[in-house]
Amino acid sequence: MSILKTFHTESEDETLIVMPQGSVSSLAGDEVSSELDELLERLERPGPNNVVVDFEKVSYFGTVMLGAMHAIWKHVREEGGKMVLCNVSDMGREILRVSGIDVLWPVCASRQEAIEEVNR
Amino acid sequence: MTTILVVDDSAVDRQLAGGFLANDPDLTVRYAGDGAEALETIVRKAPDLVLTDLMMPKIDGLQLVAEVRRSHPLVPVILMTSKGSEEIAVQALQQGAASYVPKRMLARKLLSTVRSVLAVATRERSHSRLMGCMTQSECRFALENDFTLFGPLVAYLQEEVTRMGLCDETERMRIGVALEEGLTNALYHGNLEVGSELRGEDDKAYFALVEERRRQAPYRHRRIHVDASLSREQAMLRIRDEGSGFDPSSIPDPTDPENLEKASGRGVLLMRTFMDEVAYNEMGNTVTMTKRRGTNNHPNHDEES
Repeated sequence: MSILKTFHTESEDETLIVMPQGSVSSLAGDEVSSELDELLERLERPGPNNVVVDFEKVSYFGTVMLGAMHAIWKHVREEGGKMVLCNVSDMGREILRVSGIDVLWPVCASRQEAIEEVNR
Repeated sequence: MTTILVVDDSAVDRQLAGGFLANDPDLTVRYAGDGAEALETIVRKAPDLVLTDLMMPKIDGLQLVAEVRRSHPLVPVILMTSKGSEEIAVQALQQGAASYVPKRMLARKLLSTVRSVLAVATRERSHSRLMGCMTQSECRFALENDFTLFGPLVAYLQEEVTRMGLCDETERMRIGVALEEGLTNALYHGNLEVGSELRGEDDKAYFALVEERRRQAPYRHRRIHVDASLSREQAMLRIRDEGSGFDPSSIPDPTDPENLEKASGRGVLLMRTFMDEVAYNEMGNTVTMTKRRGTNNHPNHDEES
């Protein structure tokens, strides 16, 4: 379990679960940048290559969040892993669709489904 | 007459609390034996105040606080706490309970606590009624280059737009997204003049440049100006930065598969999709977004003016 404020993380079934939380709608700046760095460094260490981003605690987000997800995804892809999203609200799905990046990451209804998807 | 609903599964405690309240001739006391019965009573006729025990079968005091806050936000809830329920009482206060009285101090503190909470609730109800009569609101902000102000500003404007009856919960969120994108653009690309080319390529360098410019002249002296003009018919939100502006028509289409991995253009696309109108001034440093009453968002690609 992590102590990051914006990206809470935990491991489950050899998958890294990233849970955005708090005021991620306006996340930006130094703090998030350093949290993102820490998260990316963790992905470089031996351990899970697959990531599930669980949006249970976030009702919507903007392009700064999308940028952070993109950075995580790039790392995951370079390490040969997969990234799947889950528990995305209707608003979150709309934002992904409008942004045109819903095609990049599979979206599952639940965390369990997402874990099964990345391990498939 | 002011009505107090006393909720407790212990008939003895219920009558005890009710007895203290009955000392005030202006108060009428009603009773419920648990949270579920209380909610039924509140739905039939909302009391002016709920006084509740915490530990109860079916719906407990904590759940009751949450439900009353959701369905009747102007009805205050006071908790009666006993030894061992301190932790749950803290949670209930965090969820919006107005106050608490330890059961062992009911005789000394109950009436004075109820009276002071009722006084505040009366003021809040009057304020809420008055705000319901507001037909036009104008406000103006000049923000430093501090992204931590965006969340509170967006929340404030969302609340005002909702108060004007302009939108439902979904539209409220869409307005929030559009506002945050406008503010983010004004800060990063406007005032700090940091392009999005670095984003996605080298995030570390991108954020380092952002932080550097936040401390550097002339960038650090610049402000983000937000004007909001809200009426019962529409919300007009204008965001102006003090940067050198940009050409909105130069933004690549982020939905083009070739641009899928680029960071540029998505914010403006979201703004245009979620608002009814989005227009930039000629210089490209001011964006005006309009949301009209009762319109659901449709993909909208208005030409810049």
